Amino acid sequence: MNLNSTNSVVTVGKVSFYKINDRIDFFWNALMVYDGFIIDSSNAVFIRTVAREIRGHHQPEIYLKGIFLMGNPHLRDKAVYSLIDGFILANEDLRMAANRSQDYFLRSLDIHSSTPSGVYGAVIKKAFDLMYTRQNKMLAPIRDTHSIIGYNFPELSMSFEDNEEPQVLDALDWAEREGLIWPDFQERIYVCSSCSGGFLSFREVCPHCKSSNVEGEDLVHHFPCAYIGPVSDFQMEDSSVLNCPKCNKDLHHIGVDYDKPAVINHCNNCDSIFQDVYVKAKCMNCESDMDVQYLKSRNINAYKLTKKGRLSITKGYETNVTENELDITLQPLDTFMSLLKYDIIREGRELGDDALTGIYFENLDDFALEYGDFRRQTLIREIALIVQQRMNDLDYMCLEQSNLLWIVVHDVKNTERALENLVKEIKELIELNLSSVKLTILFEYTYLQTASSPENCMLDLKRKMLVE
Amino acid sequence: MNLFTEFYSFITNIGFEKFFRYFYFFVVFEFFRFFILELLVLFYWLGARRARRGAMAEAHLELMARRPLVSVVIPGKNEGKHLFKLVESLRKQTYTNLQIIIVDDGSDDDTALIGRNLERRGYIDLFLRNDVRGGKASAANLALRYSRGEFIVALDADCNYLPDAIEKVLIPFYYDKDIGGVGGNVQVYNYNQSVATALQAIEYYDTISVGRIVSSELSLYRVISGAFGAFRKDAIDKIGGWDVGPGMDGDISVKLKKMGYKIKFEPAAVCRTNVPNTFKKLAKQRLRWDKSLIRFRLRKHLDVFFPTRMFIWANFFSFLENVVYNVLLNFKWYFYIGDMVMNFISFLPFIFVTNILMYALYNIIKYLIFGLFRMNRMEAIIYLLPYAPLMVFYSGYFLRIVRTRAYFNEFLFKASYDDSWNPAKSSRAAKALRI
Repeated sequence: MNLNSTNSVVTVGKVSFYKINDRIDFFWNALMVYDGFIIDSSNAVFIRTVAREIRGHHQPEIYLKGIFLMGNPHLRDKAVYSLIDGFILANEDLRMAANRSQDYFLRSLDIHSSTPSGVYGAVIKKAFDLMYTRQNKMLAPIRDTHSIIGYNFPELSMSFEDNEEPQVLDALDWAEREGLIWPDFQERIYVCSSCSGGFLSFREVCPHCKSSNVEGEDLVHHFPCAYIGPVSDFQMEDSSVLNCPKCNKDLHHIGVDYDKPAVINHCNNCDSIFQDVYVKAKCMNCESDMDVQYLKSRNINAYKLTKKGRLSITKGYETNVTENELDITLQPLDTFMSLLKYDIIREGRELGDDALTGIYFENLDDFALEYGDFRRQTLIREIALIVQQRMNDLDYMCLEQSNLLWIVVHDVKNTERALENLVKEIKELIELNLSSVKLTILFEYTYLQTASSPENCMLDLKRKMLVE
Repeated sequence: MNLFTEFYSFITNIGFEKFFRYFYFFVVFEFFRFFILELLVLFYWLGARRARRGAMAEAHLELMARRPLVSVVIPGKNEGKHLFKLVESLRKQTYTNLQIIIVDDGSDDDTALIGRNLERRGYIDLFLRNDVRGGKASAANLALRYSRGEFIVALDADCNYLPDAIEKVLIPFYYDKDIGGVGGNVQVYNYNQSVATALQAIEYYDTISVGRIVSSELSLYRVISGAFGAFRKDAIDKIGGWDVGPGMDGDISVKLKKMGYKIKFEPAAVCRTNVPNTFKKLAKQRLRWDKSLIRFRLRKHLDVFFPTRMFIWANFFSFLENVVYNVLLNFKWYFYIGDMVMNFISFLPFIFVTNILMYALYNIIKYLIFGLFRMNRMEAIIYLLPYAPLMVFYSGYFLRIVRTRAYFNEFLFKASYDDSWNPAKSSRAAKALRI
């Protein structure tokens, strides 16, 4: 073995490694010429940072290189082990490192340069490239307390910050929809519907004031006199024997003298009594406090490459859909205003009943506070779907600031009645699914007139809805 | 033809003395007590009510000015199907300062689901559930434990209430501060479902709507109906709430009276209940009720007859009237039948037929005249009129036979402790303590 070593470069035959330690500054782009990296540090944080930076780099000439760790420092962060390719404990291990690095290089030559379209295309390609060069069969999750959801997919997660881990799941979902990978269920987790954080504090709270200052007690039923009350009613200061407050008899044998048919809770905050506690989940990341039924559930899967996935790595990617594909057509606000402008001009030439309609959801922000942003988005989607189902092909709509829906409807004979019916349906949808929500919906409409500009039309309606 | 001639001859030649000898049971124990006496008291009541009108109006004003919190307690098992309708009728009440508590006593149907839903929607204030059945008394006591109202209104889940029922049942508490409990007027809701329900409707009109006006006026009123009763919270706390049933409504009324509280009947506070729709179910219900009469009047509260520290004349007479008319006269009827068989065997068919005709006529006349004193449901009164003559068979034979069986079972075997209406564990414990 021909071994050359300077302060920062180790050469094994034709293979050269750049040795990284926490005393040297370096520029990644300058390191592309090396065949691999050796991290020489016992600082766990440094090791993790460097390993993530290499794997997270955008250039395959960096992120596909082998990473080897000098020595075997104790690393609490198990995810780091998935990012490195081996340990160098003795000089003999350098040969292994050299062979592996060459192997990675040779396999990287097979990789097609194309990247799948879409936001997650680049990170998915990077993960697939790593899997291909390392001959990994699986994208497997590992438990990781650094990750906001508590799980980490090493090949993917290094492209994201720890608090962006939910996007890793989105990326995997996208790849699954594309048919590049197929899932093998491992675990189902519940995450915050607002920030997708997985670190949740589950608490039993009072259904009235939502305080967790709740105390539960057994109910005791004394058979002979039919008295029933919390166990504290039966407890005496000077005796451990329970005594009935109604008939003054001691309770000796459970099942004979008395039983405990239920539990009762008392809220020390609002003094209310209840049996069914609410279970709320407080997100330790964004501090949202939500009912557990409104948590988002995500599946944590291990993934294997499909045939399409395997071929895509070497033959190039063909993707079908974008990750933002929607079944609802909501125009961007500026497009909407342009379309509205042409409709106003057209209205000057033809006689018609075209109208601009605004539907304002007054307390949608309160709703989001209670149920999280995800639920709000879902609700808006469903409302938009109802609206869309009643629209003609020529009609169009847009959403302004998440709570104001603009719709242009053409040739509607009785706009007011149509709107009233629409709002009624929306309210029914909300009542049916979210009985505790009282959503205030305001609506106004105006027939399109040539004298008005789109801005003025919309401003007038907003004023009518929000001020008058 | 001969038979009719003989019967005609029997009737026309009977004379006053013989008539009284043959039909003394009807004349003395039925006609005099339940017609003449009641009619007199009803006329007296009309006058008294007029005299009280001003004071009652003031009491009403005071109630509405104070607007005390009233806890409505509804204990029950497997009553889920009735709850929504009941709650709807409570939400329509003219008196609105209510705390509604439903207690599910170990139901094995959807009651818990329905109750929790009503609680979550804010239709009721509190839904409590005992996972293990404890009996209606314990369920009612659980509601009582967590009630915050100045008054307790106890209801049955299978009833509904006229919109002003709760307001009306509360007024007497402000008329007389010594009143500890007020009973509502229970009418039959499903009167047109079957012959059994129609006959019970007439019975309820007679014994509750009118009969309790009389007993209340004479201070002999003794059962605040479990379907609709209002109580002062401090009074009901003082007596420790309900004791192990069956017959817990009569029991709690007696307990209140023994503590010196007055109890009154309020005919204007109307509740409508569903009654058993077959004679078989009815017999089962009445067996339970009649057994409880023996258990509570002649065992648990027998001290009412004795000159103890708690002795009250009104209670003594109330019990005496109850025992004489329900127990002694029940057996006396058999004595009457025996008397007729032994002494007038040749006239027995005529006596029997005459009795039937007299009772039928009496029931029609009584039904019409007493109808003037009833409140509400004129259409029901007209509907039920053709059934009035059948009351002779219903109360004269059916109920009497059921009652006799119940009394024997209770006297000889203490059968009320074996009634599945109450869980065995409670009955066993109550039996051991002889309560």
